[in-house]
Amino acid sequence: MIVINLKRILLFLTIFNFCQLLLAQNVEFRNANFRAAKGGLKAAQKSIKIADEFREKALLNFLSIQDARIESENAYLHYQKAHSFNPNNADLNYKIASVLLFTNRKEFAKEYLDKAISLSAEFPPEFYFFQGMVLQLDGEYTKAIESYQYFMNNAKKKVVEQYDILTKRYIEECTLAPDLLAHKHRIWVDNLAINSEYDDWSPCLSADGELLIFTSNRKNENIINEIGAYDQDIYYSNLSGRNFKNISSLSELNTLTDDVSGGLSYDGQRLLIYKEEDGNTDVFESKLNGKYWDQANRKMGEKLRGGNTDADETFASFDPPDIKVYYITDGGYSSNKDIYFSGVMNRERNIWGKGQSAGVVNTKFQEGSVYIHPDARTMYFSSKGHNSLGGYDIFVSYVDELGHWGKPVNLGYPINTPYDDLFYSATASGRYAYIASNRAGGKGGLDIYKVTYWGADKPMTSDSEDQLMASIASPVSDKSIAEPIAFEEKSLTVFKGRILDGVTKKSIAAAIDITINKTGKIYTSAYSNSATGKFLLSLPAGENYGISVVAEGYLFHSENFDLPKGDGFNMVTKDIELKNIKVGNNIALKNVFFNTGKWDVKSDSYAELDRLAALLAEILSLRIEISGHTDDVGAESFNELLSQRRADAVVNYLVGKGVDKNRLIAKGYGQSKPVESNNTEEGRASNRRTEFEIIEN
Amino acid sequence: MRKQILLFFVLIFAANFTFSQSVDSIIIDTTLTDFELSFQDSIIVLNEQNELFSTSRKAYNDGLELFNNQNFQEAIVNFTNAVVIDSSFAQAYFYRAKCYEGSNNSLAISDYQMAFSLDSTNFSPLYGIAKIQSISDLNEAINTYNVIISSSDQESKAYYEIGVLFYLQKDIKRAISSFTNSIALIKDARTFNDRASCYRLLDNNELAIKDYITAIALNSDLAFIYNNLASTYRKQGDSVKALSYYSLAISKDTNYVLAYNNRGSLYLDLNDIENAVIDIDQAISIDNEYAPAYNNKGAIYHQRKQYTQALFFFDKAISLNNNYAKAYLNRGITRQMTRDEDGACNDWVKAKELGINVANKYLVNDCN
Repeated sequence: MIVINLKRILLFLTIFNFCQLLLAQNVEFRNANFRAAKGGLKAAQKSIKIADEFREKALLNFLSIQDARIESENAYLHYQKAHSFNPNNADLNYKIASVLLFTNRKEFAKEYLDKAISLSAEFPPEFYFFQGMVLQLDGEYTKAIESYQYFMNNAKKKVVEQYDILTKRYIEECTLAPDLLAHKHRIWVDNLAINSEYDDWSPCLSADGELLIFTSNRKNENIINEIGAYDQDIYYSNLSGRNFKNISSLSELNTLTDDVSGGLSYDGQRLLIYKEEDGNTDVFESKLNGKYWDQANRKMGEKLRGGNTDADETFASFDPPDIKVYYITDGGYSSNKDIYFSGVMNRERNIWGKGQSAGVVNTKFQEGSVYIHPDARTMYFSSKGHNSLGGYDIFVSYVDELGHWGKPVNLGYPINTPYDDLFYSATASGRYAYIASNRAGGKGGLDIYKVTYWGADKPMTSDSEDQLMASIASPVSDKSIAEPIAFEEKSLTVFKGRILDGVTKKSIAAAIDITINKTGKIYTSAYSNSATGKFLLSLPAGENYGISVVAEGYLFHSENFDLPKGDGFNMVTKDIELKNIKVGNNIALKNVFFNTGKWDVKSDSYAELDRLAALLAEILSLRIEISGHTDDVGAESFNELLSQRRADAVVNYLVGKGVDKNRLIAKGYGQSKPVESNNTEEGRASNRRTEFEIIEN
Repeated sequence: MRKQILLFFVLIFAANFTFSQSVDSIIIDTTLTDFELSFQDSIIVLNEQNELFSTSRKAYNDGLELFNNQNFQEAIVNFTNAVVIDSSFAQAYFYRAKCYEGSNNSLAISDYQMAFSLDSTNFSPLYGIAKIQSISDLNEAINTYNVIISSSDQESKAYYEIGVLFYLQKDIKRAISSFTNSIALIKDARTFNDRASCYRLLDNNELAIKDYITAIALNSDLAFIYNNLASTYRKQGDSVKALSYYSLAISKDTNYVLAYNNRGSLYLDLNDIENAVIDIDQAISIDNEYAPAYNNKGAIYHQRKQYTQALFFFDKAISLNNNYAKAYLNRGITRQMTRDEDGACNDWVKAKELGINVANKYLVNDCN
């Protein structure tokens, strides 16, 4: 019996010693531990000292509900230098974990915290606060609450007071989280293929979901900053099939410093960005001019006027009726980031109203992004307040008839996680949205995620058959189809199309006004893109609208159309063709063809000539000259004769279509009026052409 | 006078004797009087006719046997022989018409017309004509049945057939009227069933149930009527009665695949997956090419979130019926759950093309 007890004691001592040995692996930054590497030790100690200063600043920011990311990144950079010299110091690992929690790489905090715990059993009480944060990120809410409470019970009173607001806040988050997570949302959240190992964030989507503009600090041609990061640049991607696959730099807006996308108009023609000028950040607007974005101009009035203050105005969103801009400002009433809005007072003189708080959406914690849906009634914003699961969560709020935003609702899991989930940009249908998140499992830092609402459960349709007629052997299938349960349907229609020249089909930049006929008021205005002719409007369904289109040199176009209040979201596509009427306008008929050396109009020219005939039939005041042109191949006299006969042939065709011959002049210019050099095949091809010029209207 | 009588009998005897030998061997007695010769000729003709009649009937009987054995080509040869010998043989024309049906409808109609022209008291040829006409032109068939009705107001079958044709034309109210006329003449279980089905199509389930029950009272052995009654109760939301009558249908015909599938489908709707599986499996074991059962089996696996298996059965249903709209709709839903969104959208496009409106809703919402 005694022998057995001795054996047990021996075993206990062995295990105890082994544990001691494991714990003893904590390697302090002391000369005694690094006799052979005193230089390295000194450098590591210096790095820790610098990092500690950054950490202190980060903690100060954090505790005063301010952004601590930059300081934390700096601290992390220097801690890492020391860590690469000595990875087995418990305190260092704990500090790295604590600063990572304030960055977009917070998922790696656990790794360092676990390492710290494996190296030592003694930590300051604050350690348990950060352990609570890590456990919260991991979804261990009960344990997280225990850690926060341990910290509250064991830290010095002064420290507890410093952390009081946040500790109580986090305990509340952990308490509410299970209820939020219990509700299963029928949503898919997918990491985009275009994400990189760097931060990819601030997604801005056009209402038709075909253009995505976003920001990334991925590797570019500029110089890295003091923390080894590239500057933020703006990129875009066009939808390819069902996904965004390829990206391009929005180079005309990108500079050597940070350029950040903020909000895209629903038609994809105007972009809000923010940038710093003289130490102050304001919102700027750039317009798509053809294929290129114009230089960005300050939005919401002049500097320090209207919505612009000496605080930083950053992420912004257009209000679809284009009367207001919603934005994030550092100068909120709670002295942190809040959502404000400014309304236009005189658009021509760029006078905007002073910024006002968006109301109950704002909290004493930070609001991080704002987005007004194309339906103009719905605001999606991110906040660390309200009933967040932790970090930023995305919330939705609806405006009432008086213009007040209602109580925010957390969008829930899987859109929101205990990590930072922010930004929200959706299609007009509301079916798809894009968010950014630094959640675990991404490609690195903030990533952009596609949110797909797959609506109510689609029921299966079982099939039954009956032999309804005794004399007809083949059974008759039951006609009933299982109807899906109705899901929230936004009665919103995307009205998109192109403005084109009625004859040549060339894209036209035109001003478009949409009027609600019932009230006679203009609902919205837009411009078609000069390069593509495209326009896109988001209109509430259930109205009769008037559309008027004005473009220089073209006949004013107007028409009425109904957007019936239908089955949820709808997309209406309509191309509008304008009539070219300005005297002196010379239009190339690029789709009129002749065989070489011949003047018979080829049949594949008829469509274009028929459109010209239709224009002449509609506008009886028009008189035109049809001109034929050749390249310089062959004898000049022959070319002149050939071009005259070709012009005659076109005139004859038009006369055959009912156009009065007196309204048409045929003129052959031969090779006398080239538009390109005749030295290249391409140039000669351009010179062989038929044109018409409006000579009277 | 006595001499003359004696001579007559002698001649009769001689004539009969010669007939029993051969016609060729008739000895023309040039000594006969004109009356005697005429009488002799009439006897010859009579005998010839008797022999031809006999040959014709034999050919008809042979043709009938071949017809019953579904040897239509040889039957046609025999019926043709019959009518060549006896061109007024209405029944031979009638059956030759039946042989032509399907392979040469114009000849069939021609023979039916000939049969009816030879015997206008028998309407069977007109029914045959109408049946052929109903394949290509329902209105023409209805006209033919109306000819029957205009000839006799006791033709219950003509009213019934017109009712079926109106049903096929989706003119349900007129179908009901015709079935009612038929029922006024003869109360037949099938007619009540068909009228009930028409009431059901008009969503008048009360009258439908009443007629189905009358049909069952007239003939309690017809499984399909129980099945129809069950489905009507199902439409009314009375699952208990529906299950009961599906079970009765199965008890009347233990191989009635429709009733198994329907009961399984109802169990599925009631979320009684276990019983649904038993019935659907039974339906498949009875008819392993019955597409609706595979569709329902797919739906069962989808309910169980076993999407791979669900897709297997939807694929099978579609392979059996390439235009199976519900299977496309369902497969699209399952494909969406497996994140095969392109596949889902393609299936809903197909379902929409096949007439399912809800597929368009899915396309608008999920595929734009």
